[in-house]
Amino acid sequence: MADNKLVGQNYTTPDLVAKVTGKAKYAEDYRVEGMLFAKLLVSTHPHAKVTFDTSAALAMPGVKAILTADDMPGAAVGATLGEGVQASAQAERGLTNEPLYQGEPILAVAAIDEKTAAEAIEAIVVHYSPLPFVVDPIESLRPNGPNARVQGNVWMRPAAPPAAPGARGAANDARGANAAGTGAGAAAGAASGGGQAAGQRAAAAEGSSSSGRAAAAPPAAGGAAPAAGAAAGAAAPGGRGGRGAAGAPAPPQIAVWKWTDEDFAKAGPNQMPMGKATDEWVFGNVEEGFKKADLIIDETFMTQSTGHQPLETRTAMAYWQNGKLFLHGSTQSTVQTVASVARWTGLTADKVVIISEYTGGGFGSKIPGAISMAIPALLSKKANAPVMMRITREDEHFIGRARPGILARVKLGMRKDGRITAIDMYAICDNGPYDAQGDGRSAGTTISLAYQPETMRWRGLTVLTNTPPKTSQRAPGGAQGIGLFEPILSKAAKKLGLDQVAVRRINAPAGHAPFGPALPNGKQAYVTSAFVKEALDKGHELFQWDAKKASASGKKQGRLARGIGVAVSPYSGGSIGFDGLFIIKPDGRITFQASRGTCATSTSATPRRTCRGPASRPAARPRTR
Amino acid sequence: MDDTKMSEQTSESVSRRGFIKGVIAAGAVASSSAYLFRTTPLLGQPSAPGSVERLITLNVNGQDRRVDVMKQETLAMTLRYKLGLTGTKLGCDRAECGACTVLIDDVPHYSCSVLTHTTRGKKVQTIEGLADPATGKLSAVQQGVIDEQGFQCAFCMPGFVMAATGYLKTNPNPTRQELAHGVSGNLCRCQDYDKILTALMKGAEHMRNA
Repeated sequence: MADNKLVGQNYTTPDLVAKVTGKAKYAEDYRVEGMLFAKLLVSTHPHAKVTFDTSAALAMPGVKAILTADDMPGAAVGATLGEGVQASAQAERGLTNEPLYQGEPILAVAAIDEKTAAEAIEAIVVHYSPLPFVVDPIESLRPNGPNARVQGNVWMRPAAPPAAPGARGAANDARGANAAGTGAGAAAGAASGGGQAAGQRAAAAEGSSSSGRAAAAPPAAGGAAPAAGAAAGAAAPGGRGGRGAAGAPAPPQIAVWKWTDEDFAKAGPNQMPMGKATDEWVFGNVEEGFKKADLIIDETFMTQSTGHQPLETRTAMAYWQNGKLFLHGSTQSTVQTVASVARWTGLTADKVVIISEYTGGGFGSKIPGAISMAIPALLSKKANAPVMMRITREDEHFIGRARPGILARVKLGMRKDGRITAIDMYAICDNGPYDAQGDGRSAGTTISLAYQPETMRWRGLTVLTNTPPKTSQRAPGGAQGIGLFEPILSKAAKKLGLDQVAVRRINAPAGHAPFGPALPNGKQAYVTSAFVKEALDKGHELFQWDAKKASASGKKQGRLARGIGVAVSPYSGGSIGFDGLFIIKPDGRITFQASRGTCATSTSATPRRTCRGPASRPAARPRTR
Repeated sequence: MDDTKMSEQTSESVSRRGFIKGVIAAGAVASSSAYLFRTTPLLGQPSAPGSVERLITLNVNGQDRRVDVMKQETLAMTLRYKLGLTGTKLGCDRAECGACTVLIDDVPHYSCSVLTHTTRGKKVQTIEGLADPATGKLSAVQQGVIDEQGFQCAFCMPGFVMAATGYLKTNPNPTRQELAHGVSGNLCRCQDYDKILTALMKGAEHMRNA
């Protein structure tokens, strides 16, 4: 390392001085002459049909235009919405005449200033015809429980045609790609495109994430779809495995799905009921696994939905020049946002210019931008003037996104020595009202990787609720999986009198650690390398675990109880094609293009760390922060 | 400016806790209208009630600025939309997140919850006014942030830097815990608090060494 001129050396990231002097411009910091301001009329009901009269508002001085759902393009069925979520016919469109959650935007007013716009909103006569609504997935699964949407209450994939000869190949490709260390994206491409190259091309053409999370998985009905879907889910430990679909993907569909009174009675008051699932995968013989166990624990856990709440809301400002849309917005990936804004506004990507120099946090909620960006974009066209739509914190609580909560029941079988012989897991994903999220599935694959059970069954349901829309949030699905499994593991270790580090070490992934469902060839996908046992050993030593364990008993001493803990958590990283493209050109110039979906941090450090010497000064183009 | 003198003055009259309490009370009054913003009068058209603007003079970053403000206009809005000082951020617009913190007579205030006309005759300082206007030399706290690479998305940064700058005027040699308390009215959603504190402590060190 001694000859290294850059690694280990101090440097100032190019964004930092602008940020600390207040010169850095975020979306709301731009001004354009003649800029109008937009305000939203949002639903006061969680589910309703809406009619309204805007004539009085339009007649008000200073009101320039009103945008309604009728001005929005239709859903782009089959399009990838980023993070592998696939658009259905019921996809979100930005404005709606049938709000599916309280606070969903119905229309937007552009006026000469915000006050006038807000006064115009007050002048609009709105009539709501309420529809049934539900905010708790379990309530929706009751025999006569309400459905969040008129079409039904769960996401599922239509049964696919019988297995084609290529299906097996695709699955193998997925495994191969993963084994080659290219990670989730490539494998996803393989699973969804019938071939890795094709999959990546398709993703690139759409400009959307090739490494999305596997969306609501297919019903476990056999055939090609479950097989390839499983591969997609399996290919990424965190479940960010697929464009969420098999072969030429059939978009997921909403179905009505109810459990029986018997299912509820069987569970009793303190456990999650487990009626039929839409989705299931398995590896090994789980029944045999439980027979080998010395301890069996069966617990219900819940992780709640949590809003992303970036400090910068999803404010956007738009104007048009020469037939092109110029949009100042907040995004985690400019590349993905061009494509999504094009789709949301009904334009082709070459007509969309996204300007985003700084982003005040996204945490997964702004990877393809925000669908609300379409509102100032189309309102600007209608009003023939630039439009700034400031999103207030209150708006953000509604239209900002949230991590899907997961209700899960986990049955764990453990041998005396701590080895996990079987896991039987059932995860219910609180999906919100729109397109299918894959968190429930990725919670399962993450657990299968982190704790290497000898056998495992995963079942899941993706249930629609009339709650704010959900999307990926820092380790989507993985965080929920770890969050619900670690306490069970700790409890088991305690019951068996085992050390908490030791129980994680004996179950830790190592080498070509397998994960996820069994593929058609009977084997699981696997990671290229894992050194978790070594990490635990190192942590054990550096933390002085044994000494601290003795002193931090967890018993109350005076006002305080001190305890110590340990947890293991993996997640997949990266998006093929978007992480960074490092090109050395024949003339000796090096270019580095980066537009990865980061949460907040600067991307510019990467090329500087990888380049050495004065000749290789990188032409870095950090696109996202 | 004599820091010691300043610190005596401010510590006598204003405690952070008392200040926050005051802001919360004021916020309840202001927030219902504060988020609404009127850019320009409707030319030739009758003005809506409450939208009458008055020309006042504000002292911002050492300069006298003449500006038309509504009586219910918040300082954050005036700074951002009328004076072009967009370094001051609006995170919540209701006195919770601290992103809009500026100094008013050297005391940190949430500018989203201060009515602009109440700052007449006072000295307002924003993030843009910290660096030396002649040389561009960064302030001690700003330099601390650069040295330690505090902050990630940095939307909260201007507020933190202003709050820390104000706090250090009252306590130039704080412990880490004291400084944490000093900026406890500021939120970082990136959860970068540890690095932020390291950066701000570095800033305090620079300030003492200056």
